[in-house]
Amino acid sequence: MPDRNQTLPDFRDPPVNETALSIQFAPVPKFGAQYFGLYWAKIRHEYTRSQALPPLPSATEEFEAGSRVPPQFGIQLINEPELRCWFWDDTGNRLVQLQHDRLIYNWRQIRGDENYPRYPSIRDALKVEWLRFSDFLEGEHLEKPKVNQCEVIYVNHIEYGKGWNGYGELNRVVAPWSGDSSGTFLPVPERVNMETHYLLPDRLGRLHISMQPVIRGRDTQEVLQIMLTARGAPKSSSIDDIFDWLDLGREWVVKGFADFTTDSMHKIWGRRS
Amino acid sequence: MNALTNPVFALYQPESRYDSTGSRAVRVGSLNEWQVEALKKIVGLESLGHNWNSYGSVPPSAWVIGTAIDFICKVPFDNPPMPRIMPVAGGGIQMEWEKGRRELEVEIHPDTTIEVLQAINGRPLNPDEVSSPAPRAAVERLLTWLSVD
Repeated sequence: MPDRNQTLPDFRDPPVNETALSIQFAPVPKFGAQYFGLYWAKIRHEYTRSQALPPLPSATEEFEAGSRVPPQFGIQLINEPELRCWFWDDTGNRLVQLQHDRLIYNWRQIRGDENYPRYPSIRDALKVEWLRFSDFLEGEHLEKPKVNQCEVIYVNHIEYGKGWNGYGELNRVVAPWSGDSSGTFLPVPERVNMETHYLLPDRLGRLHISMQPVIRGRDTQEVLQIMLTARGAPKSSSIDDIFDWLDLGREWVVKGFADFTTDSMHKIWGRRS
Repeated sequence: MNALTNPVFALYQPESRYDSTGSRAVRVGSLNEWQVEALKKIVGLESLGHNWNSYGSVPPSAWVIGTAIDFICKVPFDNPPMPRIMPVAGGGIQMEWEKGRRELEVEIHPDTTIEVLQAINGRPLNPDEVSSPAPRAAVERLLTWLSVD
């Protein structure tokens, strides 16, 4: 596998608030509610807290002519109860999400002053969890997961007053945004939402960039959130192919973020390469 | 007002947890300023600890917070009165609107029920007057009722 890190943009102080790496697979037959508890018992020494939530819908990038750009969220008819479980550690920074067709590893800021641990560390952590989950399924005589999509998500929070002051100066943050009008009628925008979608080469997936003002949960501060999601299908369910796709997705997220944001913001975030 | 006995609707899932992220971030790009301020108050309740009221109460659950957020986001009016928003013992959230003679209380419970009390001149209305429509329609109808006078 080529070392993609050598060519990727790197920031000393990136505005990353959260990253998530997700592996989606065909629903594992017979994976019912009882297995969530059994699985938690395997990881509880590290992930001491848990919570049950509604499951995420499956999301698959489609490439047929005329298909919609957004991922297809399907309804699946299954016999098992619909459930997603969160398992997180004492700090709250590390989170494992499990449902009958998906395993997600999240790193998230809780206090706001935690250092972003960087992709290789998060990748390694997902690998540990994926192997542990695969071993668990085997130990319970359940089918091996048939992986159909992988996802890389970076959530960035751009605070007001740091390099820009409101949506009249959005062009100081977002490179494709000029902020110009054809006339003089419109005032500066109060707020701006934006979504853009990019095809990866050879239909390997898509990069979705969504930008919107949000209230951040940890401090109730309004910030500009730029979320980048790369999603696509690995060549096979082998661990090498899964993590090769995740590396590709991460490359698109990081390069996409650098392209989408301005040089002046890069200086604030301490761009090193 | 303290007798909240009139359930309007229950058991709908808040939408704010329907993505792969694990951090709360409420999208406000299409909302009014009063909604943004109300949402800041609701989101701030998530940081309450156990025993926040010195009587052993748990803080509002993620479901309660998410449901309160959804409720505020579904109000279709630009400038209703700013609601008073407060946690209630047992892990719920109460939102109160007052306009002229009319008062509207919405209490979201951790058992996934939502109760509503409407009052005119401090007198609660007959509970039979409130039905159980779809959530967005219910929110619109309640806030419309508040502004009838």
